[in-house]
Amino acid sequence: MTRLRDIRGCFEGVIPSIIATVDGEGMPNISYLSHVYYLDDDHVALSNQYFTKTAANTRTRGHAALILVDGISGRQYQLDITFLRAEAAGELFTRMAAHLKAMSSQQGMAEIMALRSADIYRVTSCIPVPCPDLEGETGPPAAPALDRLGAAARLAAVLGAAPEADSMIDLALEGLDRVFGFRQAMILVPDADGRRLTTLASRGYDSLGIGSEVPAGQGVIGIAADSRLPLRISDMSRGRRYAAAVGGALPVAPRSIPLPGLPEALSQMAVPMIHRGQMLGVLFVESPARFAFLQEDEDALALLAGQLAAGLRLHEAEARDAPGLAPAGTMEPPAPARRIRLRYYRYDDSVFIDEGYLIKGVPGRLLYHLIAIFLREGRQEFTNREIRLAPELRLPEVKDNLETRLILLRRRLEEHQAPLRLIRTGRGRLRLELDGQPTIDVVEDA
Amino acid sequence: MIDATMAAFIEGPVMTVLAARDDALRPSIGRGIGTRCLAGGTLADTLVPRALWPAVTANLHPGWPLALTFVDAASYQSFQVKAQIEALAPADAADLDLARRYRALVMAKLTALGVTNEQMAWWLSERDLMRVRYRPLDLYRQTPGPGAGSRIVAGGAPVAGGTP
Repeated sequence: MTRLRDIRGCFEGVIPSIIATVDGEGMPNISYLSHVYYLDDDHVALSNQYFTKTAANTRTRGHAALILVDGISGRQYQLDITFLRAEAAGELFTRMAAHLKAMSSQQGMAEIMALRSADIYRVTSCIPVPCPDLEGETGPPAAPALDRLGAAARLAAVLGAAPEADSMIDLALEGLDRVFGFRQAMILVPDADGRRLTTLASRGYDSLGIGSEVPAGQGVIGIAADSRLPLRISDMSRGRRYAAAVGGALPVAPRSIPLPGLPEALSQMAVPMIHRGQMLGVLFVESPARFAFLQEDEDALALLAGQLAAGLRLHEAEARDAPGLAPAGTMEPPAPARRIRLRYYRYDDSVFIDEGYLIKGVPGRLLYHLIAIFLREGRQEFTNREIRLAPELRLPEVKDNLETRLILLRRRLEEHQAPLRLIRTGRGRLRLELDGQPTIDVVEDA
Repeated sequence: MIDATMAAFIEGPVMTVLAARDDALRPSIGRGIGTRCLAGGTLADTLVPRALWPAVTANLHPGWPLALTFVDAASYQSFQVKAQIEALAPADAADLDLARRYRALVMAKLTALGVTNEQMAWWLSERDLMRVRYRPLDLYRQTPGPGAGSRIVAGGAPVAGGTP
C-alpha cells in the first residue's frame, strides 16, 4: 500500500477527487469531492456538504472507493476507505470549515457551501493507478528541494535579531521573497474590536496599500484570522469555477483603501500570527501560479508567523517600558507657507488630509490626538508612555498594540506622501514633523 | 431515456467516471474514455481501459448495476446515469476511433484550463480498451449546488421540471 504521506500532492484540492459508494439497493453512486483531507497514513477526512447520497451510503454500507490525483504530476491513486465517524465540531471540523469557507467566499457563497460534518475514514488500500503508456516514466526531474525548515529557522533568527519592529517587518517580507521566492506578501493586524484587519506592510504589489482593510471572517485572510488556523488554497480557479457553478456575486467593498492583491492569484496562504494566545496579525502570501505553496511552506510560515508575533509583542513591551522623559518642546517651527487641512470624523476615527482619505480606527484617533496637542501646546515630541496614558485615546489598559498602530500610521503617512510625518527618535519616542501649519475640523456625527 | 441534448453532452469532451460494485456490495471506481449513445438514447457504450482500472472492470457483468458521471470540467455542469449493464466486449476499430477523438477533444478542453499533457497522459489511455454497453435507467443532475442530486429522468420517463 502506498503511504498517504508520500502522496501529499493529492490532498491539495487542485484536481477534484471522486468517490464511489453503493446505496441500500445495491446501486453504485458517484460524487465529486471538493477536497480530501490528509489526516495520517491510515486516515482521510471528507467534507460533507451536499453529498447527502454519499453520506447516507457510507453510513449504511461503510465502504467507499476513491480516485485521488496528484495536482502536479497528474498521477492517479485508487483508495478503498471505510467510514469511521462524522464530526460536527472540534479542531478538524473548524479547519475544514475555514478552508471551505475561504474557497467559497471568493464568490460570496459561504452560506450555501457550509460544512455539515467532517467525515473520517480509515484507508484500507491505496494503490497507484498504472498507465501502460507511461511505463518506466518517472516524471519530470524534481527541482532541488528547498530546505524549508532550515530556511525558516535562519530567517526567524534574523527577525529575532532585528532591533525594532519596523525593521523586523521589512526583513520578514524581504526574506520571504529572497529565500522562499514568495514575491507577493502582506502583514495585516487586527483592529481593536477584532472586526477587521488592516494592512501594516506589503511587498511585491503595484501599491503598498498600507491601511487597507479586510473584514474578519471573509476571504483567506479574514477566515484565517477568525479561525486562528493556517489556510492554504492551491488552485483558486477551481474554487471560482466550482462556486460559479452554484451561482453568486462578489460583495462590494465600502469606502476604503484598495487592498493590494493579485487579481488572478491562483494560490493563497494566510497564517495567523499568534503569541500567548493573542492573535496579533496575519502573514499572507499569494502567487499567480497554481500549487505555489506546499504543506512544508505552510509549516515554515507558521514558524515565521510565531516569531513575528513574539517580536511584535516584545517590541511593544520595550516601547512601553521606555523611560518617559519629559517631552521636549518644538524643535523647529513648521514652515508657515503651507496650510495642512485635516478633517477628523469622530464616529469612525477617520482622518482626511486635504480631502484625501488617510486612515481610520485607532491610528486615526492617534493622529488626531498628536495634532491636537501640537495645536494646543506647539509640541512635536511624544513618548509612547504619555500617549498610552491619554484618556481621550481610550486605549485598552493592556495589549493596546500601540507600537504596531504607530508603525501603521507612520507607514500610511509615508505612502500617502502626506505633508506630515512621524519619525521614531528612540525606543518609545517619536516626533511629529510638519510641512506647514495644520488645521483640523472635527465632525462629530456620521 | 437520453434525449438528443443530453446525448450531445455525454458524447462530448466530458470527464467520464464509472462505478460498479462486487458481490459483497463494495464499490469500485474508474475512468471511461469515450461514450456513444445508441438506439435513440435507450442504450449507450462507454470505453474503459482495463489495464488502468482492473477493480472496476472485474465488476462489470451483464445484468449488474452501473453508475456513470459526465462532467464538463470548465463549468462543472454534471450528470449521473444509473444503468444496467447489457453486454461487454473488447473494443473494436470503431471504438478505438471514438476513444482517440474523445481524447483529442478532452485534451484541448483541459489544456485551456491549464492542465498539462504530462498530467493528462495518466488519465487518458486508449490501451486495452473494453466496451461496456448499458441501459440507462435514471438520470440525475449533479451540478454542484442545492439542486444537485435531483432526478431528471426516471425509469425512462422525464420527471416534471427536470429538463437539463
